[in-house]
Amino acid sequence: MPCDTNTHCQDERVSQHHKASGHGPVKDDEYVIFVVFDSNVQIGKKLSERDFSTKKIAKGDLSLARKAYTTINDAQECVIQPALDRGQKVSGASVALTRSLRSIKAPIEGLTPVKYARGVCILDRVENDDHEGHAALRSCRDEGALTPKQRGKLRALIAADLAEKFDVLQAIADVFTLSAANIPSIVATPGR
Amino acid sequence: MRNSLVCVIFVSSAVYCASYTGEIDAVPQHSDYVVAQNIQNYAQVEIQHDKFNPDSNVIMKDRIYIDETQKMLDEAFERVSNQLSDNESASAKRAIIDTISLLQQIPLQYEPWGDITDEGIALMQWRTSKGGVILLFSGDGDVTVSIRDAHSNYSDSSKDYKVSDRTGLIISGAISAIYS
Repeated sequence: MPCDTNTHCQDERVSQHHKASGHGPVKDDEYVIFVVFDSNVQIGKKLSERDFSTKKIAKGDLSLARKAYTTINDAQECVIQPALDRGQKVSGASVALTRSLRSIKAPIEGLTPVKYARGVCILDRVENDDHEGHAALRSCRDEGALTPKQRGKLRALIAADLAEKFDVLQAIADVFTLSAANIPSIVATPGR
Repeated sequence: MRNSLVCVIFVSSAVYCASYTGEIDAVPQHSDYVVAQNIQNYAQVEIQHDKFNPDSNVIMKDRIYIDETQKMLDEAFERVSNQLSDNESASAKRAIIDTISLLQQIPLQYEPWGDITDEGIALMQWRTSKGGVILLFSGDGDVTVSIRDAHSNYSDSSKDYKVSDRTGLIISGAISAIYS
């Protein structure tokens, strides 16, 4: 379902949990963790747009972990080990404030004055093999008016914005035990 | 409009000028500089003299950056090629050609990062702690320019230009601004 202008992603308002239970929709003040695979970014360096698959963003297949509800054991069992089994290399992880991710927006074509729609939805999507703290990031904007190339470009910009929001790649253990006060990018730019 | 000198003045007072000797009606007018004006706060003025030709400003470092960018994009294409449809693959190849064509118009003082997305979009990016500039190419002869700073995201606004419109002036100014 497309997003309203300015504020809302409709699917964020109701739980996307496959049993319609769980922890409920992801709140703005929650931190979400992005586990990074096969990156050429080193620990301590900033993520790049390359770390965010635009096709996964389009499909809502970009997985996140809700920090408050995901232990490092959950991550190991449901995120890291399956990826290793697929032959992927774990590069590290990064964390961002949900509000910051939801601040990404894009202009709606053809409107004067310009109006904006949200760029991404952060959903509490939990399916059969997911841990209970699983969340998903998906394109939010109603892209129906765009050509495939315009959509591809918009998602590339969103990927670049996500790289800025998640900021620095960190060691898995550090991210799953990090307190909010120790996350420089979030402390430095509240609300973004 | 012919034979006009266009200067871009940055907040830092640095001035970049380039002359247009051909027809430049297709070059965006003031109202089209939304990206530049809103995000980077630099002003642009036009002066009726020819003084500077960016084509003569190509230096060896530019050549090195262009070669490295070509290599970076070729490697990125190889990396994502198995994820691209036939159409996306063809577009990505054209996008690489457009990218290099545009880079040849820009006096490159700073090394860009280059990539091909898994949807076949070629991307060039310059990043500093101050902000960033992204150029996107889908292989249709256009470049989409987006600028990020402390108050805006890349996806907030972007602007399309023709690769052939000598848009290097706008892009050079934006890049210099984030390094100033």
